[in-house]
Amino acid sequence: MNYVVLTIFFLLSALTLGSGIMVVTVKNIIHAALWLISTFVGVAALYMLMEAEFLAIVQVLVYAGAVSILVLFAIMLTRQITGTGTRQLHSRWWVAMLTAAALFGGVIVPTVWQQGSSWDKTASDAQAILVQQATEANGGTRPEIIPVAGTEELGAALMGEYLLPFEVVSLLLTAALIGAILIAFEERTRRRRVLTLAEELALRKRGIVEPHDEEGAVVPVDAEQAV
Amino acid sequence: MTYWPVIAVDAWIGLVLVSIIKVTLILVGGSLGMMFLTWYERRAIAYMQDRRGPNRVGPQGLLQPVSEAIKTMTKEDITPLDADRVVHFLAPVVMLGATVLAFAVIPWGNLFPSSLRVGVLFIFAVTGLHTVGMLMAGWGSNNKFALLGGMRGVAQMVSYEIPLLMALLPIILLSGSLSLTDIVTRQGDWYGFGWYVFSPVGLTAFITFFIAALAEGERTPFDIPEADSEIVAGYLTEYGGMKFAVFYLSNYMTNLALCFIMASLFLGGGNGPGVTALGTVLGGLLSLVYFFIKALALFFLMVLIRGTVPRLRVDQLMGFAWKFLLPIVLVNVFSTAIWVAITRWGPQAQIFTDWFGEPASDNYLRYGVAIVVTLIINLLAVYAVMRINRRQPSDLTEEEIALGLAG
Amino acid sequence: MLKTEELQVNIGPQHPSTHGVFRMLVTVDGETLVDLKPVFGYLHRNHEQLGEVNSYLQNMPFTDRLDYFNSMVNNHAYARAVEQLAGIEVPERAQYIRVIMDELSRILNHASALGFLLGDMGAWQTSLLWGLREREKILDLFEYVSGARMMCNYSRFGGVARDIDDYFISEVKKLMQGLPRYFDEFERLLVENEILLVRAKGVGVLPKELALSYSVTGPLLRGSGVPYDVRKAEPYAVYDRFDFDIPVGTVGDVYDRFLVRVEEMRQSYRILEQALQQMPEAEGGHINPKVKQQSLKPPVGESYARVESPKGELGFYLVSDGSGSAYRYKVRAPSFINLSALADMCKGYKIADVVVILGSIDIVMGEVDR
Repeated sequence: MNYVVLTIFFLLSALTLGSGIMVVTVKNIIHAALWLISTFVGVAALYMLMEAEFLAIVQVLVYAGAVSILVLFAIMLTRQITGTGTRQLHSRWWVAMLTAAALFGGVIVPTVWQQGSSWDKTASDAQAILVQQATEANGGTRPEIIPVAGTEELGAALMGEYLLPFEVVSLLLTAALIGAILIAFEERTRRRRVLTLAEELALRKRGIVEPHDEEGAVVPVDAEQAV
Repeated sequence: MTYWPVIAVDAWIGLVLVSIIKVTLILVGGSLGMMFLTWYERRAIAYMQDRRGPNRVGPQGLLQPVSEAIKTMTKEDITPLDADRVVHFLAPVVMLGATVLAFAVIPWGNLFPSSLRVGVLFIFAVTGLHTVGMLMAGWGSNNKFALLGGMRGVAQMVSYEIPLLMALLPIILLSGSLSLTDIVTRQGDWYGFGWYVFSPVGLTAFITFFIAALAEGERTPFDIPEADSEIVAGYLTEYGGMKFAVFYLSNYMTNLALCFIMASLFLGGGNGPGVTALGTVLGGLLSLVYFFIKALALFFLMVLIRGTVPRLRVDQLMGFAWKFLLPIVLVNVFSTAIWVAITRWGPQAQIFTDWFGEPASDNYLRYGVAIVVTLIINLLAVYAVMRINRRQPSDLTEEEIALGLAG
Repeated sequence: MLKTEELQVNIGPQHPSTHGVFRMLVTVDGETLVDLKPVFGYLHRNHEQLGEVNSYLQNMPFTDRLDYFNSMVNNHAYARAVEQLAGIEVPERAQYIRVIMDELSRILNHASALGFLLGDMGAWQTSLLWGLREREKILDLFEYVSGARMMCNYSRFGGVARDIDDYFISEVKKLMQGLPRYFDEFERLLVENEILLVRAKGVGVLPKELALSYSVTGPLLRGSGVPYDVRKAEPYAVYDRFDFDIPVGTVGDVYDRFLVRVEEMRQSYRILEQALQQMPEAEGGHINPKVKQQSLKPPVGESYARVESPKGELGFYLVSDGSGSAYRYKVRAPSFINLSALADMCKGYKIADVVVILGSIDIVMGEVDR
């Protein structure tokens, strides 16, 4: 591997890991979420370095652009926004650390055990296969750019080999979505509602004087009839 | 073998130099474009309002943005006392960074700064980072108006990103590529008039994309994050001087980028009559001219809308995205698939060949059938969505209107 | 019961859409408004106390500063109160001049008020500047006749300060040639505008009963469907000689008020046409020459005079103790009384609607704070 590429790789890894550590150590929870975005962007840059453009872009689009924003939104909507941060490490942090370390070890150790000695060979084999495929696709001559798992391959894989898992996941997501909508709908009817002047007048005309519940909040007529 | 390190170094320097030149061109071009846009918008809107607009600094007031840039740069840089200083400072940086990144793949006519295979996705991925900057600005300012504006802005951007990307899908289906380079070159058929906007599906995609782009670029009637009459200036409330200018720059560069993208994706980019005939250099220049005319026409449309209509309310804005735009773009994706099937499927569907003949670019029967079918589907979809969304006013009793059920 | 955190936001006193130094302490639940507390008094200038120190004529220019959009109407109302107190006859020609000025004021006020309302909705100033364009033309006429564009100080007891000449009349006619085009243009641009409809329909509803019990007046009341207009209810000046209609709304929302204002401009135009036609036959000069303007000392007594200002019913209450200045001086300012309905009107709507509702009331802080 080129030294320049190696340097960039280490810089990006330092950025990713550093912001990852910041996520779990900073006290301000919003700052933690912002550091999380930086981690996501670092991971995307690492993908880019591996020439997995599509994956990198999807990482930015989905994680940095959407998931982290949802996290931030959830924090802002549920917590006291303007207050100072709370302590993020609770007393049994070491249990969490051990679990994380064990999981990481469980993935990395067998891989290194099996492939560690022949790592370079595997990589060059894979490269050779890719070059061969690209040459065949290009009609016999070796193309200038060797595509690595491009959009087409991903699309074909999702629509072909992995169609069933893909559909299962989308079904799961749809179920989650419907569940969320249902919960939101249920709470909307129970939600405190401020009546406008016209609504109040209309209610008074119908003989419903004070549609308040025991907590003093106004409830809409439909909810009352439902109860 | 002994020479290769020298060559490698040479190539390296060349690569770096070319990159530096390209980056400089993008930055200078983007900023100059933004300056021109502000002047253009102010002059255009002034004429709509019986005014003259800026016409004193430089010829026709063209240097007005320069004087304003100097003004903002020399202003005091104020950070509120209780603001989160770092976040407050970084917010404009993130905003501008996201915009400038997008310019890396946006073509200028038929000239492409860098050809990314997934260029279209790249643009929307990095401009999606605007939301981060907005939220940072809103939260970091420690101001209620700023926070409200930031939250509104993020909710709006997240909602409109979906129809925006969905409106893009037909173009990707039609061109079969995610690369802006490919998409633009593929619109060069038919004497430079093979623009995607000329097909029913492309037209629908263009209109929906344009509306979503208005929201994405925070233009009227979707300028809710900085609704000056409601929440002062939204997330910009606590910004002044250079930081405000950076936000402004980012906003207008985003609009410029959106106009460029729309011109490239739907209006054929730099393609037009005579571009291919004139060769690389002259044709390239002509393509640049065509391109700027298209982009400026689109921007003029944005200005026209800004000069005409009021702003939507937040809930109406969300409703519009989810109940109106999204169904239409979804149906449009479907009818695009039909379009592609009718115009291109040869061996995949023998029945089409039997009916309409072999697929070819001069098989007008296939194109005619495709136009009719997709047009019918899209019109039906628009009609149905409008029907469902809008109950006729006569359906409501006066009391129902008074009860606020009309909105 | 699901409860979300409430947020208190101050809108104003320095805020682009509070129409002056007006503060609204707003409590919002998400985007929905729970409570609104209007805070005013930032522009308090001791107007009513000053009116009890000034001589009667000295007070005339002070009334300009109440509703500074319509100083002509303010002058008219105040002059009428003093005339009633002192029993002064006003020549017919002066009455016609006052009516012309009042109706020009109404067009001016509604044109800019509608523009500001659209500005509050977020239309980027186009309709506002179109309104201001017409306003400028009218202000030029005011300047020609009174010497000042906004602080006209034009009425005198028993008439007006200066007579109008043929040039003025020809200029008014020229202006009136252009006005219908402006009305049409404005209506074409906005009345059927989809976004305006969704922003204004069903928003800020003030039902008829409540409008009456709040004692609001002007377009706000008429928008709620009550055909009350001082020009018809208690015709003053020469208003009983004109043929005009009172536009009323049905629901009482922002859109109805909008339409009422648009239609009122057309009705003002009708009145102007008739007034210009009838004026040459009017008797008398522009002022009653027998009145001692400077040293007016009305007999002991009280009087209340009201006119239909563009913003509502503008009334002046005066008590005289026989001296050169009023013993008690009170202004019934339409903006202030209409504003009292704001808090309840806004409840339950979105925060973005608040500024629109405020804009639809059409207030001027000079009149509210006095």
